[in-house]
Amino acid sequence: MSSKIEINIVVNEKKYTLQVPPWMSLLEMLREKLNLTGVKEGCNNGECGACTVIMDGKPVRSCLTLAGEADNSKITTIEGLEDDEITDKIKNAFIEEDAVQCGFCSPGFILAVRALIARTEEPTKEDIDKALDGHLCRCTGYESIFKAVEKVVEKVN
Amino acid sequence: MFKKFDYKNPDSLDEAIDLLQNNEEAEILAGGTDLLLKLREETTSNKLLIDIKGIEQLKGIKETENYIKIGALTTINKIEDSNLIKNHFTALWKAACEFGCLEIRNKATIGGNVVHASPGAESGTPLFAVEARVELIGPEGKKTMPINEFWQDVGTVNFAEGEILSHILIPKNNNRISRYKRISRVHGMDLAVVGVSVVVNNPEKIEEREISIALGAVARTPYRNQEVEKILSGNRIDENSMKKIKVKISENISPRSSSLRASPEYKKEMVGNLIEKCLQEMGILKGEI
Repeated sequence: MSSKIEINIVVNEKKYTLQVPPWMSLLEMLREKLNLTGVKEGCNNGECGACTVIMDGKPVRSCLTLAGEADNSKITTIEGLEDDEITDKIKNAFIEEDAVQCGFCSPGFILAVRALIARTEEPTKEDIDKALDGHLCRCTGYESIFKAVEKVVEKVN
Repeated sequence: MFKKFDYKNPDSLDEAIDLLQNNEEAEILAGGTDLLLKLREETTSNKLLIDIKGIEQLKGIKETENYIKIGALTTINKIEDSNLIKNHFTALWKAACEFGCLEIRNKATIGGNVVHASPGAESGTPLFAVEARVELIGPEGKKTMPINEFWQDVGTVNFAEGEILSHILIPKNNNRISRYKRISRVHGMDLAVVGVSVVVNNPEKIEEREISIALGAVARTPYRNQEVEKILSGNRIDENSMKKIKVKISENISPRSSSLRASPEYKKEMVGNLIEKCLQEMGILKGEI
């Protein structure tokens, strides 16, 4: 059994070559090897959406992805969107609409919204629903999150 | 953290089959959304995971003379985005739209969904109703078999040693309409309480009509009932025949009572209603019910 495999990966536009155990998840690699703790471990079962990252342009669950599967891919985490104008708009809308309480689910939600805006020019209510229906928030009751997203979609367009 | 396992990602089918044949504890990794969940529950593991995602020939949707051929590694979002599937096999398209959530659809594959053979698997009822075939590739070469011979029991499919599911074959028919409907507990990501696919060949002329129905999450594998299909095929379907069908269906299924999602009584009632809705939507069942 090999105890390490080599991963070549671009995370938040920086190239890395990492040696990781084959049984390490992408979530663990991002948090433990690269210290990107904006990627949250919620259920670790694919159900909550807190660990969402964008892999080659598509949001995926990093808890249900092995580090090995992410070899030669491009990953964006919430930390990689620090200087992104659209993400700023999303964050501000979340603040204005009180769409954040404990904040644990927010990186997953914000990445999902960012990916939605990247792939759909004028997302409809249904598009927003579909983009977010795999994300759980136990504080807000969702209303404020959906309001924030609708607001930001209007602004971006 | 997972228990320890080894990981290889061959980029050819031959290499993958070779690894599978020569490692007793090997498992094929496709999208991983089912397999990794399962591995997380295991207390010991010394497996070899063979990640086949690099094998390009197992991806994509093509038309051949007789089939729509879906590569086993085709992700569910690709099926959702396919106009060919949407127009020619609406039931499968709809099942793809209802599958998990966006992040899951981006990774999960149709092959993985079939191989894990879960009773409520989204792809199960459309594929059973349309009488799809599976193509398997192994050390002895290629072979195909009907989906209901392959999908044998909960979590059990009919692989010979060293075989990999390579394609799903949907028989082509330009005069076919189909629907998929399901019930789930919450609006959002959830597994189906029950799912129903209805496939209608030659819908226009009543006497030429062939209707097949498959039910999900009511038995150990997707379930069809020939008696009910006979009542529906080639006959005018009205309020009375619909009533008969509902009774017949509920008499013939016995969903397990230990389901987390719904009671057997509820499931029995709902499948009939879903069949009715599918038929209404396709214009097969007209008038007020």
